[in-house]
Parts: sequence; C-alpha cells; structure tokens
Amino acid sequence: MPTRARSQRVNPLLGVYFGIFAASLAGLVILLMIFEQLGVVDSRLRSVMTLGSLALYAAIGVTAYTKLPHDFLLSGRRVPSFYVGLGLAVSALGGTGLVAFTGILFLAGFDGLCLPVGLVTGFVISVLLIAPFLRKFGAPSLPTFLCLRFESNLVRLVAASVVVVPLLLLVVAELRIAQMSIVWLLGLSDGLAVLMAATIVAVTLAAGGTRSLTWSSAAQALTALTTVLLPAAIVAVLMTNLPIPQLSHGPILKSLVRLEEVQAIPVGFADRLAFDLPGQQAQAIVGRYATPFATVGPLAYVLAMLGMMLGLAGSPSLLARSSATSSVYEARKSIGWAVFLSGVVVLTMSAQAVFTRDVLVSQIAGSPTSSLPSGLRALVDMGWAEIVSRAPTLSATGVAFKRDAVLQSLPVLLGFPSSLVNLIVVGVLAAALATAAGSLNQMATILGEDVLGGPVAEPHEPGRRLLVDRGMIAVVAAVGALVAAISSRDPLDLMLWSLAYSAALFPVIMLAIWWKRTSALGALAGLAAGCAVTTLGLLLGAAGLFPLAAPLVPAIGAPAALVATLVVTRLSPNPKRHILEMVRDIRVPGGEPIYDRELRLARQQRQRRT
Amino acid sequence: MIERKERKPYWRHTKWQMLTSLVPFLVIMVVFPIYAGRLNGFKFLGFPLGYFLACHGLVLIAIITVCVFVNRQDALDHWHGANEDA
Repeated sequence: MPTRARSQRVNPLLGVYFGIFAASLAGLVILLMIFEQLGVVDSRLRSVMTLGSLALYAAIGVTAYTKLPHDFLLSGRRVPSFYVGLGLAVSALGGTGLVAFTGILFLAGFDGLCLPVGLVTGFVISVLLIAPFLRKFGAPSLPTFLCLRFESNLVRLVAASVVVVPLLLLVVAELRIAQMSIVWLLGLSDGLAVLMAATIVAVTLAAGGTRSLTWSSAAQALTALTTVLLPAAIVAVLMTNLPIPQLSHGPILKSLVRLEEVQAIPVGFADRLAFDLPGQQAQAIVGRYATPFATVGPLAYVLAMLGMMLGLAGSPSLLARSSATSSVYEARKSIGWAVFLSGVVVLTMSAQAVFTRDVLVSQIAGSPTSSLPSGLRALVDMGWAEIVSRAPTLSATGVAFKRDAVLQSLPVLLGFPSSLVNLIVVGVLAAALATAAGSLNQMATILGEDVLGGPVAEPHEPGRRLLVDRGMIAVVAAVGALVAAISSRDPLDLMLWSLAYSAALFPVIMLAIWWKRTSALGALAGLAAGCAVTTLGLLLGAAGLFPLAAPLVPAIGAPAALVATLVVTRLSPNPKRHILEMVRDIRVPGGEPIYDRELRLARQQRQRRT
Repeated sequence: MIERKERKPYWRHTKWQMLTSLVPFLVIMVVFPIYAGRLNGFKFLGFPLGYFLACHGLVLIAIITVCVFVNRQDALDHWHGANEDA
C-alpha cells in the first residue's frame, strides 16, 4: 500500500469526534428505551430524540464556519475519503430511497430490485469514467467545469439552467420526506414541517457551505446507517440467530417461497416494456417475492437499471462531493467506500423486505379478521396498513400496506418498543436532510458562482463572493420549501425524474473528458437535446400519451444527448490547441488542479492589464 | 508529476484498464436479471439463485470491480509516475 503525505493536514482527532458522536447517539437511544420502560410519554421521547439530533446537525454545520472561498466551495480539498464516501452513499439513496425502495421490495419483490441495485452500480460508472477526472479538474460546480473545459460562457449558462432542474427536483423530494418524518415525530402541521426542514438545512449550510455540508452530512449519514442497520440486525438475531441480515435472510426466503406456493399467491407476467411498481397509496403485495417480472418486464428491468446507473453517475450534487477529497486517488477511494456502504444498505433493505413478508405470510395470513394479531392491529391503528378483504380469514393479499411506511412497520409488527420505530424515522429524516443539503448546496453554488458570479470567469473578492453564495443558500431553501409545500407528487416520482435529468447530463460530461475533440457547440447541443427529450418523455409519460415510465426515460434521453453531442461536434471545427492540451491534463492525476490554474492565470492577466 | 512523453502510454493503459473493468460489468448487469427466472430453481445459502445473483451478486461484483479498479489504477499511476506523492 502506498503511503501519502497530505499537503494539507486534516484534523487528526476526526475519527475520535465521530466516534463520540456515534457513541452518544447509541447512548441516547438506550437511555430513551429505558425511559420508555419507565413509562415516560412517547410523544415527549420522540421530540427529545428529534430535536436533539437536529440541534446536533445544526451545531456541526455552524461550527464549520469559514471565511475562505476555498473552504466554502470545496471543503478545502482535504476531506478523508471515508467521510466523503459516507455522504455519497447516503445521499445516493436519500430518505426517499430508504423508505420507498424498502416498500417497493416488500410489495413487488424481485422487480423492485432494479431501482436500488441500479443506483449502487452507478458508482462503478462514476469511478471509471467521471469522478477522478472531475477531482483533478477541481471545479466547485458542474457548469464551471463545462465552462472552463469548453471556454464558453454560453455553455456555462445553459449548463447552469439544465443542471438546476434535477437538483431542485431532488431537494423537493427530500424535503417532502423530511416533512412526513417531522409530521410523524413532532405532530406539526404539513406547512410548518416543511418550513422547519428547509430552515434546518439552510442554517446547517449557511455558515460553511460545502465544509458544513461535508461534516454535518457525515453525522447524518452515520445516524441513517445506524438506524437502518441496527433494527435489522436485532430482527435478524431473533429470526436467524445471526446479526448479519444482509447474508442470513436466505433460509427465511426459502421458507417464504414455499409458503407463497402453498398459499397460491398469484404470479403475474408483465409485458416486455411494462413498468408498474407500487405507488404511494396503500396496496397489497403483488406476486411472489423471488419470482421475477410480475410487474416490470425483462427489458424494462434492464433499461431501468441502466437508467438509474447513468442518473447516479451524472448526478451533479454527488459529482461535486468527491471533489472535496485530497487527491485523485482519494477521490477514487471515496467512491469505493460509497459503493460498499450503499451496497450494504441495499442488502439490508432486501433483508427487511423478506422479514416483513415472512411475518405477513407465516403469521398474519390465516388469522381471523375479527381478531387481528396485535402487531397488525397496531399498524392499522397507526394508518400504515389497511384490511382490504372482507373474507372471514385474512389472506396475504388481504392487507394493504403503505409503501413509505414498510421500513418502520417491521418493529411494530413484531411488537418491539416504540423507541425503535422512532429511531428509524429519525434516521430517515437524517438521510433526507443530508440529501436535501447536498443538492441545495450545489444549487446555491451554481446560482452564486455561475449565474450571478459569471458570466466572467473572474470571481469577486472573497467577502462579496461568500455573501452572494450565502444569500443563494437562503433563496434556494425558500424556493425548495415553497415548491415542496405546494407539490403533492409522490417523492419517489420526483427522485426518478431528477435521475432521468441527470442521466441526460452524463453523456456530455463523459465526452468532455474522454473525447478531446468535443466542441462547445457539441456540448450545447447535447445539453439541450438531453434536457428537451427527457422533459418531453416525462411530461408525455405523466399525461399517459407515451408508453415509457419515468425510470425508462433515460433510455431515450441519454442516447439523444450522446448522438446530438457526437453529430454536432463532428460538424463543428476542431477545438483550439490549448483546449486539447487542457483535456490531456485532466486525464493525468497530480499537479495543480486545473480550476485553480485557470483562476490564477485570469488573475495574472487582470493585473497585467491594470 | 508525470513526464510529458509518458502521457500517451499512460492514457492508453488507463483506457484499457477502464474497458476491462466496464465491459464485463455491463454484460453481467444485463445477463443476471434476464436469466433470473430460470436460475431461481437452484439454491445458494438458502436464496433462490436468480434472486441472489440479481441482488447480492450485482452488489458484490460492483464492490469488487471498484476495489480492483482503484488498486490497479493506483499501480498504473505509480508505474507511469503519475501519482501525487510529491
């Protein structure tokens, strides 16, 4: 293993700090469980837990205050790869992914795998094709990268307006999930909950921008991971005697498959391009768990997986994050951590879904409708499940479950203390806030640096620059809260739309690195064509005029962007020599980041002129 | 810092490195789900094999691909003197 001297040292006590954070979190949970047994009112425990964790994130964000643009925009380029990986893994799935994917896996079984597994594989594409090169370039935002690479301010503005779309969609989706969690935890009204979520994100970010984002989202990611992994491990110990649910749910699945055959749960057959995964409203299970292609056709499954993959690889907020690492090697390693952690989360989701289905099929099915099992009764009282059949005995398909509550339902079904349920919702809230903060920060950077700071490539002096960036964080948070309060769309849909847009960005970013000749006109054509085709596909799909569902839209959006870039570049003149030289430089690790060099050259030129 | 004349061979190696990681992975991504139904008759660790490969298999292969790539690419950087130890 090579050893590396870091030019800028990171705080050596970092691991200790986060160890203390994780330990205090675990301590808090155990303490609350004790208080619950002592008979303290549940709602009070919930508010202590929620407000305590939120105050902690905000405190971390505020203490990361900085006056330097280098820290505010790039987190000083000295973050160890593990912490970047933590943030990447959790914000790849987000709060939306945590709740919706678990629900989909439980309700639709095998077919639901295409979305989360597709997202995990996106990291592979990202590390092979994009992320290390963007770290070498070192730009704080995607439009800045494209602007300097193509030497065109028009590209910067067009890219800024195209990139903002997926970011806003993701912010809104995550704020909606945060809203649902806060409503459940604190009992606030919907509007107030959105306002609270957006305020917390803005307060966390305003002091230190990307620096605050990095450290607060590392804490949020730790919370989210603990709360997903811990309850699953407890359930696994009870059901399989091993605390590794990710690998040990096989035997449970085996008996589940047998039981589903005995109970004659119907098997569906989907059309090749059909894509019909469960929506937000309560729904009974569809098909057998391990039998593929009941609701999603085989072709649609593969296309959706590839679409998710490109969407993740082109996601502007994630790409900006791995630029905070200290070297190109560390950037690659951060993606390694991200793929590992998100993979573990996805396998845990699969285990959760199997455990919940097993409880449904082996314990609930067959009990009389007149006297429901206590776990199910509690679930129905909370509004997370409904009895839909009028038959005297319950069947597995006679109970409808809310997709976004399946993750929290398992502890309720098994009669665990309600602290565990609260803990899961707090974790979902943490993941939602981390993802919302990541997208919001990137959006504010784009508005501040590329739209208001641009079109000239010479930034203002630091004080004014940071004032603009901080102002933009407030503006974007307000806009996000407003849209989230108005929209009533399923958050998963918003997330899938966001991924469809970022998948259309992927070809342009990839070609900017891998094809030296790519010209500014080609990039413009690619951005415009990708965005236009994706918008058309999504709108027509939503109106029912077009057969492709949202996860399949990248299958037309990304090729459109690719073809447009290729064709227009072929038709336009060759780029200038120094641009070719710059691209050669992007491809090699080491040396001064190109963003820094360009800024330095611009500054020197200005000084020579005056 | 890399020497100028090393750039071309470095990029050629990097391209091959990328392709040998990417192409098998994409093939697996398409093949595993398509044959999942037929593979489900076999069992592995209790899982139906088709499900295991489409879920655990792909995730594990993704992790392995990334780890191998990061190590190989780092070795390549060192070989061509493109590492950042300076």
